[in-house]
Amino acid sequence: MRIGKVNSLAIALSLLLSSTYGAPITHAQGDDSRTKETDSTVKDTGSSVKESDSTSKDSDVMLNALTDELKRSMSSLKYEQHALPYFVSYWAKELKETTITSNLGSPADVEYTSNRCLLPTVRLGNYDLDSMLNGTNDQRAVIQIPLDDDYGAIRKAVWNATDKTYKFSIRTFEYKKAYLRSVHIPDRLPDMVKIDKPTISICPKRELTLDEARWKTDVQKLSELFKKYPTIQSSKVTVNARMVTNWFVNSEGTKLRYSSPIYDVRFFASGQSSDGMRIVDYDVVAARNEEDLPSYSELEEKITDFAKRTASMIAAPESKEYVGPVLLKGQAAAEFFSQVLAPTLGLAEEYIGTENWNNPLKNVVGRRILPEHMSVTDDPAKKDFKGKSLIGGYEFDDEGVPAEKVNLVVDGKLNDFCQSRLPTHHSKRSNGHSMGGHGVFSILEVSSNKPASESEMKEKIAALAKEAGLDYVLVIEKIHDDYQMGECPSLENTTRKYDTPSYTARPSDPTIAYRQYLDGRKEYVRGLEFNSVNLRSFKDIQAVASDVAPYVVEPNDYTARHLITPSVLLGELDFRIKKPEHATLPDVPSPLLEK
Amino acid sequence: MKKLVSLALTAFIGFGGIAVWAESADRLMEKMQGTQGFGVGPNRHRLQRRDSLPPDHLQHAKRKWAKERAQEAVADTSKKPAIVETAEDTANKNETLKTLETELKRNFEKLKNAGASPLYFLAYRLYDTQYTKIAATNGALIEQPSERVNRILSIDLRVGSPKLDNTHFLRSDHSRSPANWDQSKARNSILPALGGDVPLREAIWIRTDEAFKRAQSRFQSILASKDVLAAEEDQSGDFSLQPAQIYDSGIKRVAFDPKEWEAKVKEWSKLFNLSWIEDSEVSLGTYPSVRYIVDTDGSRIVEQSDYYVVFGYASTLTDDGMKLTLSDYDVHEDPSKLASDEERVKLFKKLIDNLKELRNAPPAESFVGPAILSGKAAAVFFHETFGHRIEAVHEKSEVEGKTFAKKMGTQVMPSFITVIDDPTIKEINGEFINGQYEYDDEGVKGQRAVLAKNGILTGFLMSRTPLQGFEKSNGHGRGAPGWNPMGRQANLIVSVDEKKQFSDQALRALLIKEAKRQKKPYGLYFESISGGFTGTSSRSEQTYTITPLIVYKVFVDGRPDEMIRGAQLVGTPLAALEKIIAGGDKIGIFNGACGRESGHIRNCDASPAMLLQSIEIKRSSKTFEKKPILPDPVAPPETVTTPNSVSNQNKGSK
Repeated sequence: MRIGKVNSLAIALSLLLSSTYGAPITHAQGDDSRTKETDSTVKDTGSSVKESDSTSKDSDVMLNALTDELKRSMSSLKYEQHALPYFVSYWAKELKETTITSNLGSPADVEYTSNRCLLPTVRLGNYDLDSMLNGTNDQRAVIQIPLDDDYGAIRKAVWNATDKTYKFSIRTFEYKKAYLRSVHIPDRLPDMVKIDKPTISICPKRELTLDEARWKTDVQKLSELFKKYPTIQSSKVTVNARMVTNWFVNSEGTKLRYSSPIYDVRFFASGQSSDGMRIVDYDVVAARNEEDLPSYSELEEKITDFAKRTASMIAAPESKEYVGPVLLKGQAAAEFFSQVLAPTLGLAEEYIGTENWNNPLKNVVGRRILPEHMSVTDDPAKKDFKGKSLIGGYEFDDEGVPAEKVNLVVDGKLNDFCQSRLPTHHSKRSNGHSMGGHGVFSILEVSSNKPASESEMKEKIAALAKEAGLDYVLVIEKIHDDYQMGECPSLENTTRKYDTPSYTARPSDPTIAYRQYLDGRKEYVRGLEFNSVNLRSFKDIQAVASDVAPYVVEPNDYTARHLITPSVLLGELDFRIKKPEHATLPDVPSPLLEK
Repeated sequence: MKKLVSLALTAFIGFGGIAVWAESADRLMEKMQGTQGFGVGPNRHRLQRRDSLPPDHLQHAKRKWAKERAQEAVADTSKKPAIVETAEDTANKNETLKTLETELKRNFEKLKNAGASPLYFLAYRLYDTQYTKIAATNGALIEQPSERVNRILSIDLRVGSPKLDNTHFLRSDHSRSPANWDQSKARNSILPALGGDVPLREAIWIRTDEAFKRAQSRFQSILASKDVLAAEEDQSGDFSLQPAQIYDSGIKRVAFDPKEWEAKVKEWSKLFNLSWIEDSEVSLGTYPSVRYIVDTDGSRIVEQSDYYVVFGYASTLTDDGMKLTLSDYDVHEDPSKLASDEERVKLFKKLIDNLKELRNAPPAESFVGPAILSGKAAAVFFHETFGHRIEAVHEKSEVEGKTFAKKMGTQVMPSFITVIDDPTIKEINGEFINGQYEYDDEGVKGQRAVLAKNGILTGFLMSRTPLQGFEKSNGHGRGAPGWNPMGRQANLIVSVDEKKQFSDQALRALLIKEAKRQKKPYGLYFESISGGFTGTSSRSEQTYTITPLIVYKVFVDGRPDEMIRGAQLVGTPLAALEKIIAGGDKIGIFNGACGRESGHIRNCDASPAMLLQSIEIKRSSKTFEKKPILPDPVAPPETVTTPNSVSNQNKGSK
């Protein structure tokens, strides 16, 4: 998925204004020990210099600096005939990270990252018509701010960033108004919906912890497991611990501080088949707490399975083209939903000046898009599933709105969308699903009230195979995802990629696939690629297994999150084979074969 | 699309330049790998960085350091560099070297005759680097010290013969030989950051296979192009073999306390916390690195090369929307020998004074006339006009302008000037210079090269790639880790005959005299510069640009000198070199980072001041940004302001 069409208004503006702006997105896990404040804190500090800011009642220097500059901007930031802002928000993020890496048992390398960034928003105009472009091109810039809790230094950085953003907003606002005078736009939606009431929630700031000694040993030992598989040419194991602390304030009175940790173990393996075809696979286990990560022996088992499976794929025969019934197992089902259906369950917005942004489902609420026994919900605040820690969710979205559970598909019928403060023709209310200002799915859960037992699945598979004239069905166990586990907005990922939701999509390539013969044999096959699939395939779900589980998925928006789904059996999908043009095997044997 | 590619290529081949030192070569390299362009000026892309250490790990770093120190044989806690290699370092070094040798031998044996064209030379270069940056703005840390290990592997693999091999310039698609490299911090790299043996061998093995396949197909294309394209002017070969070189500098650790530096950097950064300074930063960058070279000539080279840079910059906006940035920095291999704290404060205060004066200075207008380039400015002038043009590849390759290819033995600059490049020296007049090494990146011993003697061209900067009439390297084959080395400048040193040396005062008098003669109201004095760049390819304009920081008008009528802002020195190299009339009597040293086809490398240019009969300046571009609307929320109010800026601020704050 890549950005296809870009807002033409945005193009015009980006030509007009030569600045680099990124669209931010992230989610954060809330903290259980959160305490709610009742009053709206921090007194009005006016526009003068050096107020009694640092002694105001919060001891959080960052919050004070943000709040003070926010108040000053709202009351005084005005240039000549241009208006004061009607809305200002600041989102500051602190990222602390420890990464431990080893390959084939090399001494573990430990790296530390620590930085803070700020995303300012300054809107001119009013809720109906303001200076935001609201398109796929976000107007805000991520800037680096001090790591120290130094009021003066932070305040100064915020001041400078606000000034630049305000000036940018003046230009976009004037441009936008002129554009609207020259273009007829029927049923134009407001630019931002109001919220019922501001949220104030100050959770304790959490520090990053990681048992480095344990992980240095474990990562080294785990990476050494790959030594037993000499056909695997490349492999690596990484453990990553990240603590993101967020401070969010806006001029409506919302004031938040929360920390969200992610711990994960990632690994990959790659090798070449006898004809040179490259087989690559990635995997990740992720949790919100270090203690929720699997034990060493569980990881050992997982990585051994992973290595064995990759080696099996390397040794597997090349597949033929395939058309027929397909069982999407576990992770493959999660990726299939994430890549094809999930994008259409949000982003139902309209952008001024955009020609090619069109969510095919935006006007079909109430119509059936899945079998009647199936439903889909999205609950960003969901923390666990059957005792498994979930990542990627949040309690407050990117606009500081509390997350709500949304029933997206009920009994097979489209019911609602993930919504941010950008209105849609369906609804003019945020349900706490903003990622970078857009309504996007978070922790999606696919369910069925008629799950099939194992024997029922087998019967169904046999029936479908017979109907298709086959003695096997194709089982896809894994679809490619390289689990970058990025953070956005951050100094590294300032820009978020968006693409229009689409009726058709081509999922990434299957990485683990096998033929499940009706007589019980299982034969791995390699080299398959999806042909385009479309939303109709979801109505073609023939059976849903009872193996519901969470899997990490990572759409283009940089935010990895769990998606909960059972395996699903589809009546028909078609696959092509990879172009057989591969580098030959190395002339020199692997050093692993010499030892 | 094709046009775009060729444009990019022109940019790639055509431009190089030098800039003040702000980042390690490998970090610059990373950026350049992406853009294939050569940036000039202070490199401080703060938004790209993620290399800091959480406070709780500071203790860890300190403990680790203390432990390592304890292991050293000499219990030296003073700031002197420790001179003894630890047992751990020796063991690591030996293991790394052994692994490289094992894989070199194994791959060479098996690949020698495995392809259509024979493998005749294989070299592995491995760089163990560890980058740390401590940076602060307005008294607060913005980047914390961390230990960021990055290992970079470079493979020089050659098929064919030294006369013609796969690294030959491929004229049919205007391409240089691609670099075969890997770095441990790349996401999917399997190059282990630490240690040797099987993990390192696996990474080398897989990369060697790639390099070998690329070399085979590239070599066939080169043979085919030879058949169907007209012959090249330069008939020299592609490589020169040399006897085995054995060298081990040892791995020494220098005392360095991150906590202490953190405090200093924070303190210094407070100096810039003024309302009229828009952006500022003070940083310490540490760049320890060890380079291993093993090759099938039998060479085994281990060379450590550390350096530390304190860098401070500040920028301000003028009322007419020009962003002015000044910086000050120094470089040393031993952090204890960097400028003292007192000197540092003085230097930064001077920077602030200069910036203040510059902000109020009138903008430059285009001008032709006489000028003095200070020692530092003259050094960069020679770097651009002469240095880049005597890099052998710019005289060999058919896509190059070949300014000096046929000028050997002829007068190319006034006869009172001599230019050498000498990587074997570390100091000039007691001042540290930046381009020293024992062995270059191709394993050739660094040598002094006389490039122009009494104004007559006498030599080129040679790597192991021959040039017609020059078969051997003179130890200038240099490249950033991961890049293919080429003949580059190291320590470019310009000297002037005594009879043409003048004191500052006398040189100034000469400038005024010359301006009067030309009937100009003033001449120019270029005091400090941030860097420059030049294009050498045949498709680019054969021009150079130097970006000054501080320039003065020196009036003929005796008025006080006037600082001007936003001037850029531009011109054509051959013409400019001929215009030098006299030199100064003190040498100026510019330690910087130079970017070119083989990446960003450390380099030093040294020269006395030069009086030029005629130079040309042009105005530099503006950002058109206005000063902030609201007053600085924390800094003390501005003491010196222009009337304009005051009224501007009043408008905003209401």
